[in-house]
Amino acid sequence: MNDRIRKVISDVLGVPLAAVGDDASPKTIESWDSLRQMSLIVALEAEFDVLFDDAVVTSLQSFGAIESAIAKAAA
Amino acid sequence: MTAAVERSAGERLAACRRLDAERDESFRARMRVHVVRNVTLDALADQLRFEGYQRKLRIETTLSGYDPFSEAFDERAKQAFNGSDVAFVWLSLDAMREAYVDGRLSAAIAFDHVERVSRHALDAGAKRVLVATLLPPIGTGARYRDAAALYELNAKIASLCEGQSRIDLCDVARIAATLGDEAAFDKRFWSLFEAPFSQALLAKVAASVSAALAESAGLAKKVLVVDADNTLWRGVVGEDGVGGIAMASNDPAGRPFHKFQKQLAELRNAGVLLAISSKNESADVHAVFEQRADLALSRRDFVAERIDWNDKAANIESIAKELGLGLDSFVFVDDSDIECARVREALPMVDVLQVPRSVHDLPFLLGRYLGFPQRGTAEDRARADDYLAEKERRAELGKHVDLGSFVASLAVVVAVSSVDAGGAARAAQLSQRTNQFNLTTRRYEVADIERAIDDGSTLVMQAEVGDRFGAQGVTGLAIVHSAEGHVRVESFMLSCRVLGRSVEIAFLAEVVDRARARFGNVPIRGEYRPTAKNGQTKTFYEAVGFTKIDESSERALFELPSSAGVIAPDYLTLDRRA
Repeated sequence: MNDRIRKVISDVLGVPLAAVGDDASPKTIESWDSLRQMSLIVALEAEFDVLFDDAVVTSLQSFGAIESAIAKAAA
Repeated sequence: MTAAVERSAGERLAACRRLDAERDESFRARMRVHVVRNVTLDALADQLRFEGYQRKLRIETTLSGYDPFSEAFDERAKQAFNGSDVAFVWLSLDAMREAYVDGRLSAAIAFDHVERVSRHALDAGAKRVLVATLLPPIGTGARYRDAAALYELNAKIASLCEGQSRIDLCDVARIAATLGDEAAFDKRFWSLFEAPFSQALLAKVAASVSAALAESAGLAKKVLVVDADNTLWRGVVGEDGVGGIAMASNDPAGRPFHKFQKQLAELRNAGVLLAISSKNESADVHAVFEQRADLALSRRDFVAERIDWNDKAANIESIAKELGLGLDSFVFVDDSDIECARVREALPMVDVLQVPRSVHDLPFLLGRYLGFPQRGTAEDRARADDYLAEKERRAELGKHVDLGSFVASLAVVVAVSSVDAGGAARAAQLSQRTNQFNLTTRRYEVADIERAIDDGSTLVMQAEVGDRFGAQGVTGLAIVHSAEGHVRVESFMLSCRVLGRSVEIAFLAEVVDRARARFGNVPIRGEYRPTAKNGQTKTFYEAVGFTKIDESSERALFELPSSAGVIAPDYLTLDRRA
């Protein structure tokens, strides 16, 4: 699952796969701004066939948060 | 949101990133869109990029601030408009408080804003403006109490676009209607990000805007090649017989096909050329045209037919050759998986539309397709008639041994005149559509032509061609510019419909005379800029007396000394007008 998340982040934010570490966040990836956040949500929901909670949509700001949100949404 | 759009969101971006890395030369044009908006529409930029790439365009998008009316007139906004290929004005009533009086929508105020910002965009240097019709605010449902005001507003926007050649409509209200109101909005993103429009709507709007840009870049489709059995009508004429196939509006089996025929007739009247490609005995298909009164098209509606057992890809190529048009201006419609796959594979530049599995979907097939031109001129509407006359001309050509006596027998008249403001739209369109006999292939928008007309050191001239088979309208454009000690021919082009009759020589002769009458007896310099399509013009200048003075891979430069002119052939008539 982590590799798929990495691939989506890399595609949407336009950074190489290698730049998406486990600590990836708006702090480590410059193009991760609030507008890209929307594209990221759309792409992640499509990739994993899930629908995030509203609270999650705005707070999904790190690799770890995405990982646990997908696990929770898919459960 | 629809599943298809959702599923591909990340993949679409990844595809864009791959294409971003390619060089500009891989694309037909690079274009800039400036979006005037009042809500979060940022995802439109990615969608435009993606839809642009589908049409071989590289589209860059900039966005206005959220308060476009107060910002539109400041210096930064002016710069954004200046040089943009399209200013796209797409506003949301959800963020347009200024258009409400006592809580009710005022069509007059809202329209005034839309109109002012559109005209300002043109004044500030946008080449063209696309104005979106407006959607009701989010969540209004079927009983929207400002519906009448919204209809009035959208009608006013449509009239504005009808009356102004540089302002065109992007009917977002219709696009949203095809999706359904609830699917056009994104409730969650509206709440969370003030982004009201769904990805599905953004994708469709982006497709529509990029199709309009493709038309500006000369990439609109011109010819529709259509299969006969189970495409024009239901059934197989060779097996079911002329009486056994269905196409009547009062016959449930034929109704979708009747509708489709009517749509083809409308396309033809809008200037799209129709051709038939059918694997049949030609006598069977001709019998349908002769005997079936319920057929909504006549044989004369088709400018070419290939009714034989040959490969359809080969037949499409041969039609392209006959009409003198590039294969990338062709669309092919067929019901057969095999034929569609064959044409897709052999001719990837041809757009292939397959008749839907369920024939009830057939009336929607052409409506979903965006490749045909949206902006029509009188010349467009007459085009199919022109091609028929051309067929008759060719029959005449067979009777003559040399070109001179053939042209003389046609009684060709070339009328040359200055392009005025009223002719700017057609001149721009010619520049966008002419690919083969076009020495420099410079594309102009109406604004560019208008500027050139007003410029004292530039002459913009057009040629109208006619003969005893009919008038072909404005089919030639020349733009010359006075430079230091010489006159430069910036653009010289003729529609392929009038080639092969020495019209190009007569036109150039008159252009040279007019340039010298205006700018003095100076040398004339002409350029040839090679493209994939204009090879036939490579030797044109030398053939009429110019000398090559410079050559690089990008262009060859030719000069006609001040002592020499171009001699118009005596077997056609030159009509010199103001």
